[in-house]
Amino acid sequence: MKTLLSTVFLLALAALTIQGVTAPATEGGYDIGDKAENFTLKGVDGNMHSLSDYAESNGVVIIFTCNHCPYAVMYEDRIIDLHNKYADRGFPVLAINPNDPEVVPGDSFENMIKRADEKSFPFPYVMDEGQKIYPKFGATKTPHVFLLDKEMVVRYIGAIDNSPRDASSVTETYLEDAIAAVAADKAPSPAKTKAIGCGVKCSK
Amino acid sequence: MKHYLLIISLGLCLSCNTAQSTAISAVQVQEVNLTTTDDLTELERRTDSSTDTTYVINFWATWCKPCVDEMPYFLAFAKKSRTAPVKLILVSLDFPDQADSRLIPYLMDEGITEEVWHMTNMDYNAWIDEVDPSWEGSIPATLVKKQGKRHFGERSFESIAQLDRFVKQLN
Repeated sequence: MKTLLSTVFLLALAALTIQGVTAPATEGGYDIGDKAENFTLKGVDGNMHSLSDYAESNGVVIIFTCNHCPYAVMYEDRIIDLHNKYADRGFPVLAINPNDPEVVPGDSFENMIKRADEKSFPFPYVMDEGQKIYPKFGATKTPHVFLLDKEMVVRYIGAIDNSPRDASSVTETYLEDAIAAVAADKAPSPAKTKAIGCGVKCSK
Repeated sequence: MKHYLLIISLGLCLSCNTAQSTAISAVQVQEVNLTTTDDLTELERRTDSSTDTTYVINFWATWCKPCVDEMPYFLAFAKKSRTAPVKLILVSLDFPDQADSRLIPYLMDEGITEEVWHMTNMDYNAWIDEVDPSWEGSIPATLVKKQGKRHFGERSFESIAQLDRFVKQLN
């Protein structure tokens, strides 16, 4: 028994040390099925916006985005279209800027207001001041989507579609399909997709 | 496959401070080594070598600030290792239609003669996992390969020393 215990102990110790010296860029964050914690962030409209504001919706489309990253900018029009199409069906968009304006002046609150004005964003655009919320989600780049259902449970994570550069070349409407699935009480498939994007600490 | 051979400057210098009237001409030839592809299979195959070469494959783009910021470390690291078998391969994720307007000018301006692949396949979800399943897709990201081993990092580097340590982790 003693030998077994020491073996187990040694194996556990070995496992911990083999863990790796460098932590991966993204560790943790919500996975499919996790319930998102409430948060309150300041929007470009001057108001505070909370996740709990969406308690009566069928869900929320949370999109981490920023003012300057080419990928995020390419998706702006599509994000506006998505909100216009799905807000009335109970799936409004909530855009969050996770970048640190100290490091990227382009992502300052003032510039967020400017951008929202220029594009007439129909959805709230809030700042992750202190950068506390994006790590909870595990957002790694912009844009990065987290689709929540009525219970604030994460049902889809990842890309909006499969053609960032050119909306007319889209063949997979990942996010729209996921919204349709959640609306029909089904599991989105794929539930997670990947895309190239500017790292959230892109600014560094 | 496209290769660009560019003569970037032809300098002519006449020595003025002596009686000699020797004309010294300097011809600088910069070769930009660029291959355009929509599939990384060939690159993977070529770097699946049994020799003791360490391949450092950096995923970047001209529009990505931290990618551009760390480029000098990668270039210096590769040059430093001229004697040790290290090969730097830069995989650009610049937009397909910006090769001429952004990618090539950048490579020329920086004097980059290392091997560059322009990966134009924007159906990212189809190939990101093949580079590494842990890759969320953010750049910069670096893959190190040597004799069948792989070590991947979704991160940026702030010094040659950091990159050196990262590459050593493969062993």
